[in-house]
Amino acid sequence: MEYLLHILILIGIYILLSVSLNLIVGYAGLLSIAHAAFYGVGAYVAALLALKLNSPFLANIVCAILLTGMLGVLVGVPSLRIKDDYFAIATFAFQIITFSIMNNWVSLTNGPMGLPGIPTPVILGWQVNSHTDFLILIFLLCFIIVSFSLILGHSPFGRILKSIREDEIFTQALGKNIAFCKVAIFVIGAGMASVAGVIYAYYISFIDPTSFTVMESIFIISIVIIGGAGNIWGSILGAAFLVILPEALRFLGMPSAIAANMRQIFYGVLLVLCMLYCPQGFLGEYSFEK
Amino acid sequence: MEPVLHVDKIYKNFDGTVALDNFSVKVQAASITGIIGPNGAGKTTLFNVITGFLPPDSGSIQYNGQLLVGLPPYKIARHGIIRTFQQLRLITRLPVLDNILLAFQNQAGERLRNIFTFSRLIKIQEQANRKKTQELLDSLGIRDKENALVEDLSYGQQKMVSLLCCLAAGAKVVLLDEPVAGVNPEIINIILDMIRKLPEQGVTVILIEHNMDAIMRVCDNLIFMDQGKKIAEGDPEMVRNNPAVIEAYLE
Amino acid sequence: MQFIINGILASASFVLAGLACAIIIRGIGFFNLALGAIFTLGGYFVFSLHVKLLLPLWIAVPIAISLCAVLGMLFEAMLFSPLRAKQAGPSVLLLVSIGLYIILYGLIELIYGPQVEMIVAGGPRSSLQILGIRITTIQLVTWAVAIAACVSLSCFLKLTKGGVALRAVATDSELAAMSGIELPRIRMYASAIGCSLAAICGFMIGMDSDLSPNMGMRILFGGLVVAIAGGVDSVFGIVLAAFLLGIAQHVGVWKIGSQWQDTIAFAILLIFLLFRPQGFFGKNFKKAIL
Repeated sequence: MEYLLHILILIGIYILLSVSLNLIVGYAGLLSIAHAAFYGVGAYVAALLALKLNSPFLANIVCAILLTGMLGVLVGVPSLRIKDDYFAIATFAFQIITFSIMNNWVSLTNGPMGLPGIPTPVILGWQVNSHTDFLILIFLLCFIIVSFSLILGHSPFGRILKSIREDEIFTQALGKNIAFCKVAIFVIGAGMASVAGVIYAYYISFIDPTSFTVMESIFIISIVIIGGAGNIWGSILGAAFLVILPEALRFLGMPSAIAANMRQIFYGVLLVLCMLYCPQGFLGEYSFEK
Repeated sequence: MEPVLHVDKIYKNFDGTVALDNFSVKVQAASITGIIGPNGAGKTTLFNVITGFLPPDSGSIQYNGQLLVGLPPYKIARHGIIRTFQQLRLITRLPVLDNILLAFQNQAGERLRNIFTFSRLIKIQEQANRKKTQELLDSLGIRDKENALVEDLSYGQQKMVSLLCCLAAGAKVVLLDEPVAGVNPEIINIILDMIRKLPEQGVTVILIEHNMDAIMRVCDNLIFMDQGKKIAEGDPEMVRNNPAVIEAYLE
Repeated sequence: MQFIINGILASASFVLAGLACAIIIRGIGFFNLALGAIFTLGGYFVFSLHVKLLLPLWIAVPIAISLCAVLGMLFEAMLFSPLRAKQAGPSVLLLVSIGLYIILYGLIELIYGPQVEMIVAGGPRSSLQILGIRITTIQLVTWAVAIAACVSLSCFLKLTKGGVALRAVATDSELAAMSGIELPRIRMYASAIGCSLAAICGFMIGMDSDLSPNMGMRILFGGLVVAIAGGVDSVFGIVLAAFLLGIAQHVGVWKIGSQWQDTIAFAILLIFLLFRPQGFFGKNFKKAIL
């Protein structure tokens, strides 16, 4: 039972991550390989605040969103100057640098040893303790963020994002400030990803840099692509699919050392096949064509 | 009369090739100005410079007395100077409706802080814009294409949609880059009728076109340019009979 | 001063990695991150052939290089080329190459295990003293290989028909295609040359230190930095950029500690991407689009 709840909570965390990345990648068409960096910064901000200042959960989550949002500006601004795969490489660089800071700024982050002993959150008197409590919390957050994303995606602002993805010149010629929109969506996406990080930190009660690597970023982008870029429901489906399916490998009785590698190979094969035969994913409307 | 758009002594060159050479023009309000000239004469470059997509090397452009040079393209568009592109730019993978809805200016729902606070206002505005879009489509007789994807439209219909985008954007000055090139005669008539009615609504039109017949039918004023220079300007009939024009078009 | 000299001495492998990346990025027109796995494979193939099958190095190395070249050409022919035919943009190709990297990485770890392997058994490395500068034999050999690679590559690019065509494709692939150059064939050349260089580089680094499944990513990082900073038009630029990176990393090790090497490399990458994007790539997008 615990195991099942754990899987559901993981799916919830990946829904937060993939839906927020979908706004950046699927709506605005900016291929970003830096989402695990935002995820990680959110987790570290919350963990450090909780451990060092003993500050309450809600304050921490707000701080994490604000701080990660500022980082979002830093990643979004290059998108005004560089495009396509060059931009993706810039976000990749940002991801590596962030990981390296988490791993090496030992006096702040405790480096590879990680930060243990993050207390359980208390929200307005509700002690979030058991797996069930966490599942309820994550469900609430998913509900808020998914509705937020759906409203945003269907608003005139969302329409501008899609038109930026399709044709920046046309969008500018119609009087839209594309620079602002691109940076804004990065701030929003980064802020949402940090929420996932905060929850993760409180749920596991221990974080270390290995949870926020390039591989993690690639995993999140795989969810978005396979679920379908430009469709919020696709990301939800993709998150559930990509979290559950490898768990099946476990039941095939594979030794855990091999299972980890097989999982990776499996994700890689899935990503390649998806791009080859179904570039729009399950439900997507956008496939990075020329 | 004060010109609505005053292009003054514009120079622009690309890696040594001169695209615009001391080009000046005064465009009167609610007029239709045609620009003709051989390929590479700098016509599209002129549009790119006016709309801010390319910075001029020198010279100034004033719109109702306000300097445009140096403004980013979106700000120039917000002044009401809206253009179309020679190689049609529309969002082909989205429906016609979305393309035109995108064009409306000052939409409340484009501002992030409004999206969650004024959702009713946004809805009302969105419905009003939708209605205007349908009227616009009606005026060209393509109402039935409202939900069709742009990529499924004929070339002529796509040109119509791009013209409608300018109108939806509330253009004061429209710059049309070859609005009827490659379009069948029937649709040419519809588009030209539309263009001819624009001055009545206070809209100023500048258009680039190779189709002489179309030019003669709608233009009040005609400019012939070659190698970035203005060779002749004035009454269309007169410009057409200019020896330089005849020579260029006979070649 | 010692750091600068050490930095320059150590930058031979950056030269090789940079050349491989530059040929790949410009020759086939996108950031092929699967190259990271080719670096690793270059080392491991030699390891299998030399240490496991007991073949002498002079047989093992050429076989390993050819295997990598063939692998590169296979990817180009079976994945990237069909994708381009489907109008896939550079972002899609980048994603596919990421998938490919994950697959190869997983396979390497599955087959060889996560532990570190050596091509040459451990023990103190021999070194020479030249003009008061200590240099290890392997550094000297790496430099000899790097110089040989630079010279032969320059000759190939300047003197042969295929090389001239490759340069034309690297500068402007569309223009090159219009002037009658067969793009698919040139891309195959580029894949073969880039992957051969990557194999050599992986092997040299394996000789210098040791082999591990994730070594390729590190090498790729350096290679990307050098290729972008150096500009791809000149072999000279690559060498210069390799010096820059080597010196920056060694000075960095001295000033702030060895753990910041990745951060330094990627900070350099970001600076170049942001401030010299058109300068080095020669992509004047405004003129091209309007």
